[in-house]
Amino acid sequence: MYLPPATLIVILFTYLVFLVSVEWAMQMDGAWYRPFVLCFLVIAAGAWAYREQNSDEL
Amino acid sequence: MSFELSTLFALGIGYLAILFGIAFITEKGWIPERVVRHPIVYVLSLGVFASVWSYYASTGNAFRDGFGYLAPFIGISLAFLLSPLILRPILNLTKTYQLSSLADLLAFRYRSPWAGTLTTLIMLIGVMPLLALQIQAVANTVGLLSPDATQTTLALTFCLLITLFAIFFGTGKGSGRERHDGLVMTIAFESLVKLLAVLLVGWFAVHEGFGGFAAMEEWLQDQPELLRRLKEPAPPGTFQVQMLIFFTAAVATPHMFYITFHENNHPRALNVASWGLPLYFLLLSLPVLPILWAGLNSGSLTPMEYYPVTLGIDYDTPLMTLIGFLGGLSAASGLIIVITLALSTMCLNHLILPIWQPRANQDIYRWLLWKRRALIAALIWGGFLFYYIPSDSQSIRAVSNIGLVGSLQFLPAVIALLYWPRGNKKGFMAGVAAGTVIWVTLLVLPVATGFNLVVLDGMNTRVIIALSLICNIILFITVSLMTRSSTEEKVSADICSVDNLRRQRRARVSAGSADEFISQLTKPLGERTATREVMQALRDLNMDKKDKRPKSLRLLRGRLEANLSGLLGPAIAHDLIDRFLPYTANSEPGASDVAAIENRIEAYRSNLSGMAADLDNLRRYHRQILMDLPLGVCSLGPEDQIIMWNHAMESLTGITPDEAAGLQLGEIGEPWFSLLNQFRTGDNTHQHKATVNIHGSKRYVSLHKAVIEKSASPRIRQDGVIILLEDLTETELLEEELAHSERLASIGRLAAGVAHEIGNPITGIACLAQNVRDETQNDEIRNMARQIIEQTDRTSRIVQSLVNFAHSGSHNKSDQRKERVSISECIDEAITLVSLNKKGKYMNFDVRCDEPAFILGDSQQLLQVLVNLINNARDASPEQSTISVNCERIAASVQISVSDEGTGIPDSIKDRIFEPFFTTKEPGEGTGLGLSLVYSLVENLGGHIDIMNASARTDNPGAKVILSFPCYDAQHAPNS
Repeated sequence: MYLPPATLIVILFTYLVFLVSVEWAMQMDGAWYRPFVLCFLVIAAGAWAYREQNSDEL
Repeated sequence: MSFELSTLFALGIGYLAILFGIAFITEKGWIPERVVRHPIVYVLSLGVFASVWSYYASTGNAFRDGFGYLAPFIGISLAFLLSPLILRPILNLTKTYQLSSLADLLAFRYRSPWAGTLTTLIMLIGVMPLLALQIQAVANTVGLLSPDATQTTLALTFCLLITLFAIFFGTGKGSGRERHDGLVMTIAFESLVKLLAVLLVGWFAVHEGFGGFAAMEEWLQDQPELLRRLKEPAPPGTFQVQMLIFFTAAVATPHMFYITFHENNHPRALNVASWGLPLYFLLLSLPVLPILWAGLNSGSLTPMEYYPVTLGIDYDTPLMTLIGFLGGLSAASGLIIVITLALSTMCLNHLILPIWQPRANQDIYRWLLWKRRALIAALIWGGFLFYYIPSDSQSIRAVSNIGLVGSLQFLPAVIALLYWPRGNKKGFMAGVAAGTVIWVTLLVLPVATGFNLVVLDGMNTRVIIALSLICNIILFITVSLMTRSSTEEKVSADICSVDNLRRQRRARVSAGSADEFISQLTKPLGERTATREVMQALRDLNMDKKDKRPKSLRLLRGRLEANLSGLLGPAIAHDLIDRFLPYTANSEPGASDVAAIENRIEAYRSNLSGMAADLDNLRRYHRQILMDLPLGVCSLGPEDQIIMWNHAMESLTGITPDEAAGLQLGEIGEPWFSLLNQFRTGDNTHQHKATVNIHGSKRYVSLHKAVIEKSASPRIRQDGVIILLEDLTETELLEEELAHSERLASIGRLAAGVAHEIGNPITGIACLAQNVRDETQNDEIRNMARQIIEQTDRTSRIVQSLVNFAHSGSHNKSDQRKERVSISECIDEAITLVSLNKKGKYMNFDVRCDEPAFILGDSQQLLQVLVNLINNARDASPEQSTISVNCERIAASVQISVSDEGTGIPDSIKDRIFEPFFTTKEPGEGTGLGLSLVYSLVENLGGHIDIMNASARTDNPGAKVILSFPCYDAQHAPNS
């Protein structure tokens, strides 16, 4: 199975972000919008990974 | 606070009128295409997924499940964030094979009409409650805002308007294949309205409900129970199951499939949607919590689901209520329109057409159009009945939630169609049937009717969903492994599989031309439809109607099947094409097609990176080497099909690689077919200097071949022959010229020897004859002696000519005189010398030297050349005609031409006139050494002589000799 690098970046980034930050996002005394910040970070990473790139030419 | 029904009615009608207007002006082309086809419009149109469940139900879900309400948003967002894994490959398939629904896709992959029928039926069961829920949401909202209104009447009106809209703007011209720009633009507008409405209501909730963000935070900190509920982790698995359901829904719900794939205008748009749609859902879900908290803070008594609408009433701001109402209306109407369009096509292709097809003499497009319209109306009104009949509105919401679980049953099949070619239709049917039975029996029936067929203690919804999916997967895998796939399934699996390269049938289509395609398809489709479809396929492929190459006809057949699939569904289209345009009996299904493989890799190239990209670059490099090789390369596959034809072959034959690839060898025409076929079938692996006659001119080619043996691996079928062609024409001409020069040189050497041997005795004879003449008084003897002297003089002249000729070719160039020679002076001198010969004819001389021209060399040699040429011209010309001598500078050379008004030199002797002793004059009038001498002298002077073909000179058929010499340039000359 071929995994495009952009997708790999998104998967890894999402995994790492949630691994590191999920406790921070769900703290009882934390701001209510923290989960949305995490989601936004993942979306931004996706936008960066899927930005338009010129294909390599020989 | 309540609203007049007429106000709400006017607002609803006005809003729907705006939708009609947008669709209308888009269809008319009044909105620029760059706007209509912008990826943002596509992303917004995908927002149709956020129907009333996200607009209304999210607030209730947020209260009950805390952040668990985000699971649906995250699930579908993940599907798009990982679009290259599932959505992109499916998009490629749907675009190539014109598949407009999941039922089409599964019927195509598993080559079974039953797969499509089963998929359609499950979707109908799962989606109808969702339709009813939209109608219910609109009716309930109006009921809340205007308690006196009759909800049924409102629901009826709403359904009527939506039906009209879907029929007018969703069915297009009836073929079902075209994109509906008006519809997409309208749905995008609805998504925008929905988003703006939610954001505005959210902003209103924060500022009117609490007085700002800080105050809201402060209020929230005073609500520990709410906070706990918000942030407390959901029961294990709940969040994941929800996410999985909505992840699957991105592909397995009719409306999402329809917008994501059918209405996609460019793969780039899906790239933008990969992050654009998650961003849209993020913005849509963000205001949900403030709206919920503001509703709770206000002490509202209305159900939480309707807070987005009733918040305006609670805080006495009617405008905000109307905005919320519009947002809900857009969420409901958008979904109903798209879902009915998608379902109507599915029902038509997989429920109606398998049992009821139009006759060939009918207008098929019209027939399909009206059936589709009828189905749209039936589906919307079916949804209305589903809303109208149950007395308990809660059950509709519950069933619609459960309905989406049905889409989960397609997850194994969807993943398998891309990543597991071994899966087959029996496995698919068994798995889906098992999962569906569990879903219907344990979830749908109990929730919809309260009837529990099987009572299972301790099993909640989450467990039942997991059970249905696990059973589905196990059965799918087990049955697939235990049963065989048909050949067609294997071909289809290869086409769909992401990891496999597509393998085409290397077979001939029974129909041999586009016209035969039309006549064959006329039987089931009628002449009009058959002609239209074949012509459309030809246009799609940019293919000429006269193109009869097997490869082209295979492509045409494939395109026709794809186009008919868009019209009638893949099952009917495949059956129809197979019956009326079959492959010939000697087909080789599954044989690899190099061109197809290359096309596939080219299409996939932008996705390659790292080692894969390097390998692709290497492949391209090797291919480029073959294409640019100065030798002609022709690679033949099985059945003598041309696989490779490089640029050198194009130069030789005039047939481009694009034209040649895919042709049978016999189709390239003569003389190349005979040459290549004889060599291909012969035993020799080399053939030196074969002659090919092309339009009257000969070409010489050497041929070499290598046979590629069949591989033991069934996946590699690259057996065939490689033929190399080496063009030897130029070499052959050079060799001929060299041989000619050698012949001239040997004649020169012979002449020198002969002259030397003959000269001495001739001189002796002449001396003796003079003695006889001077010493005898006998007139008769004196007369004979005089004749001997005349003949010896003549012989001496001939011998002297031979000596001159021999010497002219043997001059050492370093010994030659190098001086600046004026051309015009030489011409004048030559004409004077020729004119001195009183025995000759009277001639006119036309001398033109536009500007002084000089060459570097021996003036006597040039003079000799010109005298000989002018003498020849005079001999060939009639009395008092004109001999033209022109001199002109052309770039760095000087060109002198001598032309006469004689009969010219026939082409047949042109090649021989420079040979020694070749003459056309009467015996005794010429030695045949004049032009040979000229040729040698011109070469000595570093020039070139050419004779213009008499037939090429229409103005004057006489001979024209052209001399070219390097021009003397004073600035660059050596010190002389």
